[in-house]
Amino acid sequence: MDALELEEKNEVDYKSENDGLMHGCGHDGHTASLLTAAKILNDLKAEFAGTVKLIFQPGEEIAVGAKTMVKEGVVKDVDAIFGIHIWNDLESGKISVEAGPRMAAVNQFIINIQGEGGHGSMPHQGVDPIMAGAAVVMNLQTIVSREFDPMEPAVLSVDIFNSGSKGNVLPDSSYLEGTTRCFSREINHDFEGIIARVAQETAASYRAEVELEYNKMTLPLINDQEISATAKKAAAEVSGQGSIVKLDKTTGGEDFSFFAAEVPAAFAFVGSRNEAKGADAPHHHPEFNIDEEALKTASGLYAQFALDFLNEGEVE
Amino acid sequence: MDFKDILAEQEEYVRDLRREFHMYPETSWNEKRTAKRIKEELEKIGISYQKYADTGIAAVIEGSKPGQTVALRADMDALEVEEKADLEFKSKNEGIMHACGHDGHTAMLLGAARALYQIKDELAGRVKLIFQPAEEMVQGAAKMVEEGVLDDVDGIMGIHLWIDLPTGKINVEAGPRMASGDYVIVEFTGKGGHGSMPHQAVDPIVMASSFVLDSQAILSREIDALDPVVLTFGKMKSGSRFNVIPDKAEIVGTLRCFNEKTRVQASKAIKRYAEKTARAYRGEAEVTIQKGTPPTINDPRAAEIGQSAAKKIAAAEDLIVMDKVTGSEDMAYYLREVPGVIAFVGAGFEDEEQNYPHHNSKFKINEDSLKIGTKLYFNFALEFLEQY
Repeated sequence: MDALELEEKNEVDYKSENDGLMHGCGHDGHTASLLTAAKILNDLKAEFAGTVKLIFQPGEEIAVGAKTMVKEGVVKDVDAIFGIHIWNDLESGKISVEAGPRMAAVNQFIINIQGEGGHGSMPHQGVDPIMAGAAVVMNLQTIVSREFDPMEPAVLSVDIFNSGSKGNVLPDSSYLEGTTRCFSREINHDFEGIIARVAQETAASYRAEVELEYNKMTLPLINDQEISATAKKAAAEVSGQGSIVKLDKTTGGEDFSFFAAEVPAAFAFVGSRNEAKGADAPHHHPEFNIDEEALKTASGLYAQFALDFLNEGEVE
Repeated sequence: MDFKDILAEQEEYVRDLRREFHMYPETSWNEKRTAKRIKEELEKIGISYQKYADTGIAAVIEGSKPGQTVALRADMDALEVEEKADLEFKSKNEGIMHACGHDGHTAMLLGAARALYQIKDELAGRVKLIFQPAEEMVQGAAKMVEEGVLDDVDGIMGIHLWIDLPTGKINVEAGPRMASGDYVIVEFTGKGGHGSMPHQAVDPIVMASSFVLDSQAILSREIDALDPVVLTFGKMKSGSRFNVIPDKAEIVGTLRCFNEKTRVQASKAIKRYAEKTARAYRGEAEVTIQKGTPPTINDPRAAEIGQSAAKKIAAAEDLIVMDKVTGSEDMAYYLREVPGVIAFVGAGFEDEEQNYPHHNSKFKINEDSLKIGTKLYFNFALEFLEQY
């Protein structure tokens, strides 16, 4: 449901009326499409067995909404879940809903390295946290290349290295911060422990100590085989077989992954790019806009997926 | 003639003068009151002087007979430190403090000047008194040399009151005594990008880290094991957000050496390591080595003279050997031009609790050291003119 802190630059009659806030990612479309599907499904409720639960989730952009709703039990009575992202990297009319990893786990790590300060001209009296930090940065590089299956993509970037105030003063600590990305639940589970080991043992060899803070922001978003097949069938019914395309997974993250970690799930990308209509800016851009045709597709796909899933259940 | 009485007469004078300088400390290049007072004292003695390096002063005591010219040097400036020592002559200039002993150096040199002036008829040669500004910024000595203060000088001696030595001890040794101090600044340039797509970027943090580690091998693999060198990177700054690969990383460090040849060798190696390491990671490095003080090296013959001068005022066991230190001193600029020495005169208290490091806000000297320093200045001048 949520929007972004972004000043809208589109000249449309439905331009944001809230200063500095903008639906720059398509969540307005998701919510409207789901309400439309709700209307359709309510009209058809005599024709299906089972229950359709509609989840309107806050706080996706800061990756806390899904996590919190799961914690509060929203998927406890749920057998499968389906989500849609209206997607400007995909032509309007196209749909991608493949099985397997779709978006990456996004993690943030903070490594504080504690040495001992002193004068730069008398390094032996201190413990150099820049040296230890540099060694940690280098050794962390070997995790992806030496410890993980080469077929499993993973990323580790140290993006902040701050330490010290003056060239000739040995500081007492270094601050490192970075991100990891991966698509496998196993790697995502192991990453923190491996970083802790490499950082601690490396720093220890320089007589320094390490404190690691690891924040799992999103999980790997993995589409279930069967649920994806159901969704693909629904997509063909709504938009025709020709609309279904393959899209590479991305290293970006999505907090739908917290639902997908609990129940079998599928996450579909519904194309909304249409250059002729001026809908070609990337997500989070101040000129982001969608081809409204995508709304029809998304509404239909939500409803069709629910019907197909529940009807399949009945056959069993 | 017995100089003991002449020297004893200076003790109170030096102590009072040092307390006065201590009360009115002035920062580098702002030593105006200090300079004015030095000139007044020189006038009282009857010594003519000349202005050098803005707030600096040089004065000559002419002996009755021809001979060499020996220079005695004192520095004048104080530090931007709020004094926390509990003294009756505590700093009256807010935020400024004589926390390194230069107040003592200046007072001792004026005391020695008074004594030397009294015996000038017995001197073969000339004694040049150098009062130098801005030692703490390591600029004063270089400026005075540039303005020609050493043009007529054959040898030089400077004193540092030294808290790490107990009062009564003196160190005058040949060879390297204090290190050179150069700033090393390296800017690594990569290519920014998203933290989740490192292949589209060139990561400067990996470059800088690799360099920080690898460059230590310069010390262990390229420099003579008997020649101490320190390379410390005290600062590293890069990046703004956990998921954004930055385009630059800056590191700043200090390089300390005890001889010129090694200093040049190490500087070249640092540049090579930075550039080659950056290349290996598809990036670039810009290395700036900001030259600070040269190494402070005592001349062997001048050191011998310093030792025989010291023996006249201290027992043999009080003339001690001391390891060279990795700190820097702009006395180095004089010693590069003419033979000379820096002598360390102990100013520490027996009670260790009272000893705070140089530049500390509670720093204070044992005033008994002042008469020792005064005598050493005096005797070095005599010995040099007799022996050199």
